[in-house]
Amino acid sequence: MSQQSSNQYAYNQELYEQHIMQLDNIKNEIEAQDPFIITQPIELQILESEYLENQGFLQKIQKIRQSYPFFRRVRRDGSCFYRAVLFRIFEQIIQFKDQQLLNKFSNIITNSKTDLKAVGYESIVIDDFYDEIMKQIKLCPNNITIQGIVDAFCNKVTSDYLIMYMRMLTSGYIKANAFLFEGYIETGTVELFCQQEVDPIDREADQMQIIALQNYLQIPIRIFYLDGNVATYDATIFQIPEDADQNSVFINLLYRPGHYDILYSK
Amino acid sequence: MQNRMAKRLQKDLEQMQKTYVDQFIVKMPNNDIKHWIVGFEGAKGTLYQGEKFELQFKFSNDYVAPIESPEVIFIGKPPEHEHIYSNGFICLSILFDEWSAALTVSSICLSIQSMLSSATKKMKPPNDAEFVKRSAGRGPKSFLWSYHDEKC
Repeated sequence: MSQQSSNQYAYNQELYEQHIMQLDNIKNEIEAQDPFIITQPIELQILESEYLENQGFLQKIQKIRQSYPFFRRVRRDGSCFYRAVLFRIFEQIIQFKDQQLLNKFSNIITNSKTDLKAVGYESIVIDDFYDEIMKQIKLCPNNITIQGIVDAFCNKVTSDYLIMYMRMLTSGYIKANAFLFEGYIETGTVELFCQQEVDPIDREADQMQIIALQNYLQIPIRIFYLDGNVATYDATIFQIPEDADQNSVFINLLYRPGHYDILYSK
Repeated sequence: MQNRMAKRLQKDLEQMQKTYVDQFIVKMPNNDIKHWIVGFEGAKGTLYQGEKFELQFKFSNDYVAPIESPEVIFIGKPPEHEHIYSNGFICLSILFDEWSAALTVSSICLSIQSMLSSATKKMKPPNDAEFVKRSAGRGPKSFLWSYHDEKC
């Protein structure tokens, strides 16, 4: 095909740049709404002001904050679950110089490359993301502070890379254990489910993704579900695995419809 | 960041040139790693057997490879297919809202080729004329695509 004819339908670069700018503007709106990707711990009481009109939520927040008085807000861009979980693992390792957790986590991540390849992820797809998470792991526990890991998570690029790897691990687990998940997928295959609901960077994690990531990482998660039911004062607690030693669970998440934040006990 | 992008695109290029050398021909008309032309032929035994096509890939300047999707269109004469518009735009979910960093240039090319191969008749999209008129001067990523089946 001649160069002339192949340029016939190509359109001008300037307009293309404009479209990209429009897309960026949408992203900027999300960023303006949540200027920080992860905030410092703030008082959970602050959240009550958002639910003054909603007694069901309000009374549950009041109850939760007796045991979990602080929370970090996490940006509402669809990746909050993955971000919250990974952040808490790093924070726990750094704060308590938890060598045992570090070894466990480091081994899981190191072995994950093989697992991902086994379900069809190509090296060129995995490597950049794997390298980024390993880079952060290698700084733990002594060569990075909590503020350092907050800064890494608040860097958009670093954060996207770390989250993308969590998404791959989630997809990888679902694909490798398709028999566990098939029954819950309404249409299509687990491959299609992962392509549509896990891999794209803005897709929220639902029950299946949560279970898959938890199963892969083997680190327990506790979630406090808020709802508007005025007849109940306690948030519904979802802990996976159910039989985890309650005192060992350090990932505590607060769920409001469509969003996860991180809770901290006294 | 430019560097990280260039590195990843370089790997994509190597994969195309090593693994798929018989299937896809990659050109970079301006010697620019952010602008590719991928030539391929319709697969044997399909409606497009022997027809030559060219895809254009554009990776935006701040493309944080590969978090953002590239822009992919047919240039020259596009295949006559119900999900491909006469201006070269392709209605394929993985190019838009199902894009993810798990995809590569080669996996996109293979998906497009397989979309052609599975066609049972040659036809333009039903809203081709109207869409092409509306999209004059706009890029495919500026549209909110709706998909008619699981892929498009």
